[in-house]
Amino acid sequence: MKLTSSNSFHNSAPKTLIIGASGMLGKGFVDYLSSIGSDFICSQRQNVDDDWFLDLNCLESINTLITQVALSGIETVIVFAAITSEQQCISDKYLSQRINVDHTCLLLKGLHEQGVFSVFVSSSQVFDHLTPHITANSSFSATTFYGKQKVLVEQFITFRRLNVAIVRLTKVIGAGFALFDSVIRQAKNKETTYLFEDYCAAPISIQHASHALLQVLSSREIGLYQVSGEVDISYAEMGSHLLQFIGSKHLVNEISSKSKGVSPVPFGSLSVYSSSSVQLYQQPFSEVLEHYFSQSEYKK
Amino acid sequence: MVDTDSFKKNGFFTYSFESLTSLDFIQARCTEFAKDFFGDRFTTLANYHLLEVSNEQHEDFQYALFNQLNTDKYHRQFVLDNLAVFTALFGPDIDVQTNLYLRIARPSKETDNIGIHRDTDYGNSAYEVSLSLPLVSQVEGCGLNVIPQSHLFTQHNVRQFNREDVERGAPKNKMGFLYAPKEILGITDEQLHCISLPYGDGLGFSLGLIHGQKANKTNMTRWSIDFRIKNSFHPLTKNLKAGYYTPLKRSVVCEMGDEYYKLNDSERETLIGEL
Repeated sequence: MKLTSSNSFHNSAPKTLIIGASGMLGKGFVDYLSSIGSDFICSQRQNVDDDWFLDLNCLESINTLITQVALSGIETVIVFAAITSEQQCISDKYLSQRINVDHTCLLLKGLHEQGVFSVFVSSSQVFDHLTPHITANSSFSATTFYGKQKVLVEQFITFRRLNVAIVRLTKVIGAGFALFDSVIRQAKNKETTYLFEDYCAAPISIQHASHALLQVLSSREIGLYQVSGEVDISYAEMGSHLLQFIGSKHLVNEISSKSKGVSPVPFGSLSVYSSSSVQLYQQPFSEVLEHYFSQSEYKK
Repeated sequence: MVDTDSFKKNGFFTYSFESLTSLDFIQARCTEFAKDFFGDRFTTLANYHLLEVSNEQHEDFQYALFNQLNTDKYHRQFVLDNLAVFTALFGPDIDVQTNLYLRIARPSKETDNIGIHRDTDYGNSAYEVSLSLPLVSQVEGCGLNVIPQSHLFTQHNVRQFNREDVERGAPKNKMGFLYAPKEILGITDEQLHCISLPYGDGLGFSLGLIHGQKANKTNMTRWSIDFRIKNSFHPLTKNLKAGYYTPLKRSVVCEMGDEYYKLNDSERETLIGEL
């Protein structure tokens, strides 16, 4: 019989927990925090190592994490974890509903009851994007499954007045953004590039999104925040700007989204909004490109 | 908190729960599921009977939804969310039935019901409690019937018969319908008290209490879930299937004991009444 204990106390434990650190956004946020020397802990459902375990599909795991948060003195939590693929949201509706809505709500409610401040990362997809620069107080008009699920969580937070800030992000572009990578590759290989002329977004860089999220997280101010790119820009225009940016004379062939069975999206921007003293700004597209190349394997 | 004196005397209690988030999710799942299953024909849970579906369709739907709700398992979270109520009744070591039962009783459809019975005749013990939660507020007469104080009856006569619409091991059987129910003889309508509840209220009763519904005589469909709860250390009958219960909450001392015997496995055999 061994008379030993595996328990130990960490007086200098991190005060911030990042939930869903393995996805594109979460990983980008982790990189951003690491680059500025900020201390944090992550939760993941795979490759846990030093991280905490959380499977957002498992109620027990959520309850355990909430207890762990309470015992460890975590003060702020940011929630990225979700099924983000629209296709997956549709193909397994009840699973995505469980993870993206029900369990996320239970997690946020549980954290609230522990006195923890959380940031819920929402999306501009709570709107239909039929108009540009949508204001924060506009009525929900989600057309995608994913967007509708974000609406339900936002309503849950607001109705119950949880200690949670809601941050809506427009399209986020990180390192290895597949569309940009393939445009550059096609230009190098002199292959034809086809991009939608009628499918738009108001992109922001992962660094810009991370900076805004950190500001909100640090402020601990509940309420609503909108983070957006400055311009509504089609994917064809994005490709052209990208090629111009790297000095390539390669051309983009504009095609209609309908030709590929995709519904057009005329706009993608939100009106930048902060319900507290946190200062947010619209990011110009040139800065998005700068940030993309600062992390991309493709150099300008 | 629950009026325990009345509970002990009458064998049942009603209670207005404070935390309804998990019940809201169950209710929302039922509505969403019905919309997906029946399309625009479906309007509300209470008006489900107006769909005029065949018995086969109804059974298919109920079984699919029953499975979905048991994938979600929000009934267990409901107990956790309202833990103080249950801890006061059972103590800090609580087991909750692994799977819930979903009841959908359409007006005048006798086959949607189990009839008047008591669970101790079917493998449960009197140390267990059933909690029934309506998913839609019930109009007068729509709720479950109970016979107050029947948990203290010293004898009752039963007649066992085969139910033609329930096959052993078939979906309906898995949903809690009995293929060879035991009818309690000598029960009069006057003995039955119908407990109709608003959404958010629950009916808890000893499994020794006679309860049930022969037919829903109102003009709304009764939607409810129910599941059983027990103290982890209270006895079960030999007839209860393994896995019927899953631990929900453990006291600190119980956790410490578990940890000790995990580390000192050879001492485990000295225990009596181990979990």
